[in-house]
Amino acid sequence: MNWTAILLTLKLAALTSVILLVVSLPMAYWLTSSRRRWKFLVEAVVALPLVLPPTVLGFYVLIAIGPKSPIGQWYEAVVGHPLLFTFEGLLLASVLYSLPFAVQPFAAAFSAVDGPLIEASWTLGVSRLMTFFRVTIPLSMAGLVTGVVLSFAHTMGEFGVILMVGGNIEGVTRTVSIDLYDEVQAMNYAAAGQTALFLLVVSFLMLAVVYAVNRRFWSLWPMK
Amino acid sequence: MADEMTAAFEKTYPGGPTIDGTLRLPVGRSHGLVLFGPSGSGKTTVLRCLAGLERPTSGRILFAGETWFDADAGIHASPQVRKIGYLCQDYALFPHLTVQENIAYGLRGGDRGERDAVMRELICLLQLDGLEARRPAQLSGGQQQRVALARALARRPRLLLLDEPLSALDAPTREHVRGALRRLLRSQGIPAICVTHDRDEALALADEVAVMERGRVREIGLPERVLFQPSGPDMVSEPTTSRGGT
Repeated sequence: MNWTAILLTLKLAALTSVILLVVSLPMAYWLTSSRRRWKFLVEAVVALPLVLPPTVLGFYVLIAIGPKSPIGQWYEAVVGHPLLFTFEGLLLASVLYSLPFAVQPFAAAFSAVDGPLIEASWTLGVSRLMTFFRVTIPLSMAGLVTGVVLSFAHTMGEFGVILMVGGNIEGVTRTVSIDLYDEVQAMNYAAAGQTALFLLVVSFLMLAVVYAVNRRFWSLWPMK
Repeated sequence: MADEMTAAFEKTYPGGPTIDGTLRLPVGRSHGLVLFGPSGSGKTTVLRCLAGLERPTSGRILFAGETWFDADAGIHASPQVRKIGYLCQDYALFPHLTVQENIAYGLRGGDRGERDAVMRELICLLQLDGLEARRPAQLSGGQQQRVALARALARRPRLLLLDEPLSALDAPTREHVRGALRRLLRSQGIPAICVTHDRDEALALADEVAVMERGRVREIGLPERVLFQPSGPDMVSEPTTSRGGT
């Protein structure tokens, strides 16, 4: 097995999950609490990666962060190297690609928190922000775990977006799924089989965690 | 007058009824005003507007000289700054916190010793000794109601708003808790507005009863006069959800 690719993929998945946790919490909160009429447009944009072919998303990210784009030029001016075909570029694309896998479980969990609990907190003098941290977050733990785990697992298995945005550079952008593709192209089925099995086992374990949390095989908090 | 609350507001729902909340309540001392009326008469809406959980469409709410709501001036004080105690029908206890943590939830900042003293006093007053480490799911309906009351009282609220405070209890427990709640409200010296459709509950808790019908206060006065006059409200004690006893 290509351990360089495995470690790179784990690093990418872990960083993507952490960034998505930070970015998706306020986004999901806004989606569940906002009464804006145009909210459905934001919901549709967030959900786009679920239905778009990864190559389409990858193509637009490629154009958006390419050396001729304003973002690409700005990044190069600040950091000193281009964003395209780098780990950072890959990370950006992964965050966009896995966004709905974090936002949607978070939003579903926030919606499931009883309104009277939130209102009780407000009438006890606790601000909206602190109510979010002291009531909404603890009562949404199962949804938060689901979102983080799904983001991690989804990033582990990325292929199209990575190929478009990151290319196939050993130690920089060659992830497990790209490595598997390379092995098959080289007719090296034994190595491909090991990599595929690794991805299968990791994905299974991730999904087992999600289902265990949601079916309350162990409960994060005593139920009401 | 500075030592009273005056509310004169309307809440209109698109395509729905208009709720008129015109009330006056002495504050700074114990006084129980019961909003009495059938389901759908607008009692809970009035209570939620007073709590700041809903924004009236028009009018004003003044509390001891403080403006809580003024539609013309665009003022709407949030529930956080009104310093009220609000008890909703299902008590809304935080399921992930223990009894002690629930009661202390609104107590932040200030002297720790003082906070502990308030906690001890409320746990003793509401007979919650020995239950401090339990979570709401491990309590009976009556115990949950007492915890919710303790939590509401912990911040020394200026006004208590109680929405059907006994409706989640079974009949024998309700009977038992009714008198205790009355004594508690008296002893705390806090004005309270209580919503109910139960005549016995209204009689037990009220110094004054406001009868609501179709979104308006039809009559306001002493409980005996309002509830027992021949033209009085034809209300029955509706059966309520049973939740287990104390």
